[in-house]
Amino acid sequence: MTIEELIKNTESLPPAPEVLPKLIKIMKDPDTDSNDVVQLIATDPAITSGVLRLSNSGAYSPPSPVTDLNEAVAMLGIKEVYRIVNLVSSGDYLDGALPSMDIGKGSLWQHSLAVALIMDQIGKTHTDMEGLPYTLGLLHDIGKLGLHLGCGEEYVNVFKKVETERLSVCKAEEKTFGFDHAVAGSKMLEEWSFPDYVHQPIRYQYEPMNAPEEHRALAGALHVANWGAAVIGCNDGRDAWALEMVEGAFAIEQKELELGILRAQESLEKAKKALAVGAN
Amino acid sequence: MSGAPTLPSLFQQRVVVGVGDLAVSNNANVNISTFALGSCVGIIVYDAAVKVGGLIHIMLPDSTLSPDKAQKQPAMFADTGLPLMHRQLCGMRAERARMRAFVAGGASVISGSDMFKIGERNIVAVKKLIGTLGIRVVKADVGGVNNRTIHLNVGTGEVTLKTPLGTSKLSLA
Repeated sequence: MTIEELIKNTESLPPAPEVLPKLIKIMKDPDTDSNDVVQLIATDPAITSGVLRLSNSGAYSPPSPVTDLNEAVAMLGIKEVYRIVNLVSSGDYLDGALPSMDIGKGSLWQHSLAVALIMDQIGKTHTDMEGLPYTLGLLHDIGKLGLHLGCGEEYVNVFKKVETERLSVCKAEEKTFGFDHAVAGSKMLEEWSFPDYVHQPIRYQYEPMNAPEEHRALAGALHVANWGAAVIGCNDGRDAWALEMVEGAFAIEQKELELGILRAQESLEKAKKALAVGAN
Repeated sequence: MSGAPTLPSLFQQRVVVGVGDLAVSNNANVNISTFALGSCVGIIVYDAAVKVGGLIHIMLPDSTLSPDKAQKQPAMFADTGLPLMHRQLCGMRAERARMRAFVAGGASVISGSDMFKIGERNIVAVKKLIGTLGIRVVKADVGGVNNRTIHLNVGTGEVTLKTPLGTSKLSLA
C-alpha cells in the first residue's frame, strides 16, 4: 500500500474534522475575535457539547454553570477554549485502542496530551501562535491511527524488524510500508486541510534536521517532547522505547528539559483527574 | 462453579502506585502494583519474616533538579524516595538484613546522548542507593525498549512482571 492509497481509502480512515483546521487558521489571524470563534464552534454540536462539558468540569470549576459558548469564552478566554476544542476534537480520533500496536484504550490520547503539555513548556518561544505547540503535541501521532486502520494486519512485521534488526519503530515502519506514522499523519492532516505549520513539524518529528527551516524548531521540540512523554510513563505499546534521538535536534539544556517534563507531569495528573482521559 | 471467585480472592485489595509515588503494607490481602515503567525504575522490597513489602516508582535519579518537588513528592527521585521507603518498611518492623529486592524498568532509547538516557541514569542511581542501604537484590529486569508492569502480593512475597512480550513470576519470600 502506498501513502496515497492509505490516505484515499476513506472506508478505513475516519472522516475529516471540520472545525479544528478552521479554528487553527483563524487563531493565527490577529484580527480574530471571540465572535468568530463562537460562530465556528457552534457549527458542530458535538464539539459545542464537549466544550461545555469540559468548561464545567473540575479542571476549571466555574463559579456558576457555563451554559453556552459565549459564557465559556467570556469565562475562560479564547485561548483556553481553543485548547479545549483541540482536546475534544483529538479525543474523537485518539481515545480508541490500537490493538495492532498493543496500545490500550485511552493510551494514545493520554500520550498525545502529555506531548502537548511538554510542548507547552518547551515550544512556546519558537512560534508567534501561542496554542500551536499544544496542537502539534495532540496531533503528532494521528498517523498511528492511519497505520492501524489502513495496514494494522501487517504491523506485526514492524515489531519483528525492531526486535531482530534493532531498528527504531519509525525506521521499521518505513522499511515495512515505505513510510512511517509521521509521514502518514502529516498526509492525513494535509488532506484534512490543516495548514502547513501543523502538518510539516509533524512530518519531520523524527528527522527535524531535514525540516524546512521555518518548521525545524517545532519539529525538534516534538522530537524531544515525544521522548519526554515516555519518561513520564505515557507511551503505551510494544517496543515503545525503540526511539532514535537525534543529537542536537532541539536546543535545550538538560536541566531545563527535565524541569519542563516534571511540570508537564504535574499538569497531566491534574488533567487526567479532572477530565477522566481514557474513561470515555 | 468454575470461574467463581475463590474466598481469599474476595478479600484481595489492590493498591496502585503512580509515577513518583510509593506504598508499603503489612496487610496480607494487599497487592501493590505499578504500571508503565518505562525509563522509570520500580523497586519492590520485601521482608518475608514479617510479611511486609513496599513498592516505589521513581522517575528521576537526583533530587537536586528540584528540591521543592522532592519535598512535596520525595518518591519522584531515587535519592529521596528509596531512603523514605526503607524508613517506612522499618517502621513496620521489617529489618534490613532480611529485606530482598526486585528492580525493574530503566528502558532507554536505541540511540541518543546521555541526556536522553534517563533510564540508564536511573538504574545506576538505584543500584548505588540499594548498595548503600545494604539491601539484597534478588533479581533485576532492566533496560531494553519495552515498558514493564510489576505487582507484589504482600501475603506471599510473589512478584509478577508483565511486558508486551510476556509475563513472569518470582518469589521474594
